[in-house]
Amino acid sequence: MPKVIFDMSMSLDGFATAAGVRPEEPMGDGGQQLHQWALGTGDPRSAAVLAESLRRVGATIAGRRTYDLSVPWWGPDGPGGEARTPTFIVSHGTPGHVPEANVYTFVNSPIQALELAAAAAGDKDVDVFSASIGQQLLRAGRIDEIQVHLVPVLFGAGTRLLEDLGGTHVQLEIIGVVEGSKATHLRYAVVAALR
Amino acid sequence: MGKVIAQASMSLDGFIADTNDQAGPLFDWYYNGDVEVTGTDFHTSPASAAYLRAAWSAIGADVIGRRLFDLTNGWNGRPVVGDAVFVVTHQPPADWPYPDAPFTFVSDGLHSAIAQAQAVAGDRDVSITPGNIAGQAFQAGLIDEIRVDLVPVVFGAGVRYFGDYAGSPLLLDDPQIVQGDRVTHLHYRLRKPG
Repeated sequence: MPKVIFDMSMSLDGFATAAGVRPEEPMGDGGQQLHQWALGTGDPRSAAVLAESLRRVGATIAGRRTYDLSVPWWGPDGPGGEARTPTFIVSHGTPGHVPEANVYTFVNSPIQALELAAAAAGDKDVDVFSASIGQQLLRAGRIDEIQVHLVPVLFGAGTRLLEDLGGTHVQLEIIGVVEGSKATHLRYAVVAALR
Repeated sequence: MGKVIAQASMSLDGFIADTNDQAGPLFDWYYNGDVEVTGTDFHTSPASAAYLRAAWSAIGADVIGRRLFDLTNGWNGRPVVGDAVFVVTHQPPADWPYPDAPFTFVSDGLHSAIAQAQAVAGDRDVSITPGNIAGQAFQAGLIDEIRVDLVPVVFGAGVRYFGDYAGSPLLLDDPQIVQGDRVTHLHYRLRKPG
């Protein structure tokens, strides 16, 4: 089975977007700061983290909201760009307009997305690229690793990366910490729910 | 004048305590090594001990909220770091059994508590312990640096490090990082506007 990795950028105060998410500002007001590390800072450490991601990811799962906000940038190729990684979107129904020759499959539930993504990924990993889907899969015990790109900014408001977990402690184990420019790359294994 | 530094252990999702005000696994790293941290009962990994010594040696005074004071019983009158503790509270405790301890109850607000702490600290730094008072302090632009001891656990609910900070985005510099055993020490400086 492929590993399932909840892989997201997060502000130091826990937000996966800033406040004010809308089509023109898909990351919220000032939220682009979360992706600066990935946009070519000239930092070889962050570039290596990104290259490793592209190498190991065989399929991606995202939510419909992320899809709607991102598809103008993703186009038909999805978040993996030229790699054309199969991308499974959890959605009630299929959008009216989708790009031609695209990599997207629209499915009804996170678990269904997981099963199809695992089959598509082969011996590579499945990346979960959505706060709400990641939370649901974490609650269901289906996340193997969490990779957080911790960005040195406080947003004070926005969409939280980790919430609605029902007061359950999730114990993690540090796999690796990479100091980058504009992000600290933290990788954890999910060990167990504590209670 | 020294700096004002927020400092606490935090879960990956931003909590310094659970819904019962318990730090639980957030404090495991204070006791999971064999290097004694002078002046405390902590025994940590060598890396964490060195980190704490460096962080604490520059602290002259602490500012804490009433909740932390009550939870720790004011550390029985002995500051963990620094020479003096300033407790932000609406109502000083009536039955504080250590009247000679270097604890001052400040009822006229956070600004006043920080100013009094800075007067005692002189050139040294002032430490401020999150939750809610740290949220207020960030809101008021009173914090110079952030130290987070990031613990590999997700709490899901509880008391937040950044309190109810809801200001505009604050940019920080890339942190200095020290990797301990089951803790990642992150030390950030806030970028000052202008």
